Amino acid sequence: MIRLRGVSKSFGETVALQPTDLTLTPGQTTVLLGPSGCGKSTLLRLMIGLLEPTGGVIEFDGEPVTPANVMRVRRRIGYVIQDGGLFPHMTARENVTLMARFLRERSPADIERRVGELDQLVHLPAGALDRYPAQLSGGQRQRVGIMRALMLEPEILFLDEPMGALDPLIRYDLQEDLRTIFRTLNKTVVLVTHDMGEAGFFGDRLVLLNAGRIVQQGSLADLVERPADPFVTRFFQAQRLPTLNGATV
Amino acid sequence: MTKSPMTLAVVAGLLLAGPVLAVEIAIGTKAFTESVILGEMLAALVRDAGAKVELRAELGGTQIVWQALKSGEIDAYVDYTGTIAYELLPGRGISSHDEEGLRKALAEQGIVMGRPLGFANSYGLAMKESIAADLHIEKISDLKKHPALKIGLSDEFVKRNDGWDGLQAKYNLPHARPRGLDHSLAYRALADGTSHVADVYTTDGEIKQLGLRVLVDDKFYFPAYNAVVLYRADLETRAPAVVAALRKLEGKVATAAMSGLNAAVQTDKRPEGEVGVTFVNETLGLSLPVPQAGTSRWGRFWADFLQNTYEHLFLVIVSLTAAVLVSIPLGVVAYKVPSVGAVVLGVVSVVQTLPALALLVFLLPLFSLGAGTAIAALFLYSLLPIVRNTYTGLKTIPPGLKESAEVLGLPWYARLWRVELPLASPSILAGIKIAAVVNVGTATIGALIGAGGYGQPILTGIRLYDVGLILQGAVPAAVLALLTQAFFGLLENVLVPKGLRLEMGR
Repeated sequence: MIRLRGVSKSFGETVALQPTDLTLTPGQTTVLLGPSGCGKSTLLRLMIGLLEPTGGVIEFDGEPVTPANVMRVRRRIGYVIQDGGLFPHMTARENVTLMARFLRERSPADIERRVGELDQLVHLPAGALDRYPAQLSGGQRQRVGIMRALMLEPEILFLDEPMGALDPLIRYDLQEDLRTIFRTLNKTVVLVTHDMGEAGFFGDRLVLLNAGRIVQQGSLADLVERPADPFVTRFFQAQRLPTLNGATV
Repeated sequence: MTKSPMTLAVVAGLLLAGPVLAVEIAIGTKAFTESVILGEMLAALVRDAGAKVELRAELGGTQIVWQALKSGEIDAYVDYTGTIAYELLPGRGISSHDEEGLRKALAEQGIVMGRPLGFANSYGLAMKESIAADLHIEKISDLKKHPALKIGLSDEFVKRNDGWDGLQAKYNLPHARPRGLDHSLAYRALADGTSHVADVYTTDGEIKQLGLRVLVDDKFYFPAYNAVVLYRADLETRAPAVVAALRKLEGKVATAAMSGLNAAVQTDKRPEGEVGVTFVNETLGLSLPVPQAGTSRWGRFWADFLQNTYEHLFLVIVSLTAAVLVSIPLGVVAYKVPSVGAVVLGVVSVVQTLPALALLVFLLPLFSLGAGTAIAALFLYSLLPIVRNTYTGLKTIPPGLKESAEVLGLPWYARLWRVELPLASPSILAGIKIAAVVNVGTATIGALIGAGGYGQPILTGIRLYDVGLILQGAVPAAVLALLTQAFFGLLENVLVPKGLRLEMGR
């Protein structure tokens, strides 16, 4: 699985991430949480090799990730960004099957079968797969994005603010469906959000970042009840968290 | 006389003069009437000497014809001693009056200058014969006594260093500094009496047409512009008969005669070939075949139109195709390797700013006279819009989409081919469209170096003050530009992926 040892990242003079250690627990959902610019997206992008660390080592299954093996690593990770990141010139189906078609490791029938499975999983309306992204709603685009991420059956799924651009009601439905999907598939999931409610809803483990470093990690209860730092409390209060175990926080 | 002895003589001549007959000679002309008439005369004489002649009429300007002569694209043309001294041998300090000096300097470059043909096409001042006679004005210095005369000069003459200011100083003329007019308007002003004196070229057809007197340059202010034949020195060994033919006109063409020939073409609308060859026959006592305007006006119109269209399309299609094939990869490289990109974009931008005529003169030694050079120039002009739009199109792909392609695990070439280029396709196509439309317009410069196209009737029309002929080139060029625009509009519907068009709301 993925393990970060003393990984840091600077952009010129600006330190985006201070030396950080983090290990992903297989089969769990880890939520990277924090205010804008805290380094949570940087951390995610480092793990998938979109950024090269300034210092430290990122290991995948005990092997350091290098430019030489980053392609192989990426194919074992599914990645979903805000608004799906769908290619507008391809239909939903073409988006989902792009990588599988490129690799030619599966037969067309096999690819078709896999698309059917995923369609079941994400609950797209009939015919949506043959539309272009411009013809789909925000929620549908996001569901297609998830299908695309899951197409090659990756062990790990990364989601970078996947619900950031959605209306509250659509967001609510998608959150429900996503949690079901994560639990059904029993995947290792990393989700980036700045929304406490979403973090608590998904996360087995929450990792709270501020100013380029991890402030605290643990369960929601750990963070709320045993804050390691005044920032943790302030962050929670600023979020107007609905309820926890029936009581208002 | 029966034909058979003639035929026999011709056949014998063919056998005896075999090597001479094999000689192919190209005669060049500049893009003004006098030059074309002289070219027709030389062509007829050389053809009569047994050579196969190609007449490359209406080449763009002095530099183009000169380069073509030096590189051997043409073998001979007529130029003027003043032009030779100031434009072909600049900085050598040889006076335009120093024929031997010019001849020597040209010989160093492998070019022979013949003896003067007899006429000079110099700058001069002219006035209406009737007024000049009344006031007894024959020389420029006579103008001093008539300060009330109104002087209307061409723009160029007012502005030139060796124009009005120098003339006024040399002759100590009392007249106020005149305003500049267009050259043809300066004649018009003389004709209707709004001005009394104008600058002219001493062989202009208008001199005869309007009944003008050219005033004698009694203080030798104007340089000598004596017409001479320039030919390649290698002709003297390669084709001595041709050299003899080229020199037959020496001393035979008087200034008044040349002015009359120019007027015959410009005013009487007679073809240059007919005017020139008739003169040669009369003057040299020959009976060379006089070319006749062949088919009907409409027949010629259609034949010319089809020929021009074919040539124009050829220039545009070849240059644009080559530009597309080169520019898109260049744009991709500029995008992928930013340091190379800065250089590439800089260079293609600079190329775009080069004036067309300068670019043609640069390219002429590399490519041949005709389509090759024109295509090279059009190719270079088409690079910038396509390179820039390819680069910008790739650069402005939303970062989320680029990353999505990257994290899927697609290698760079697959990302480029399957994601980035399709996403940039509207921008790339827009760049090609701009390049194509500009190319259609710019391809008219092809005529300057003998590549034909719609520029040909425009060039001839300007030379002959024939608006109809200008429109014969200008209208189809404009229509072709509009068609090109429409064609690429349709092409967008085919080439830009449907999903993108939906996104752009089309």
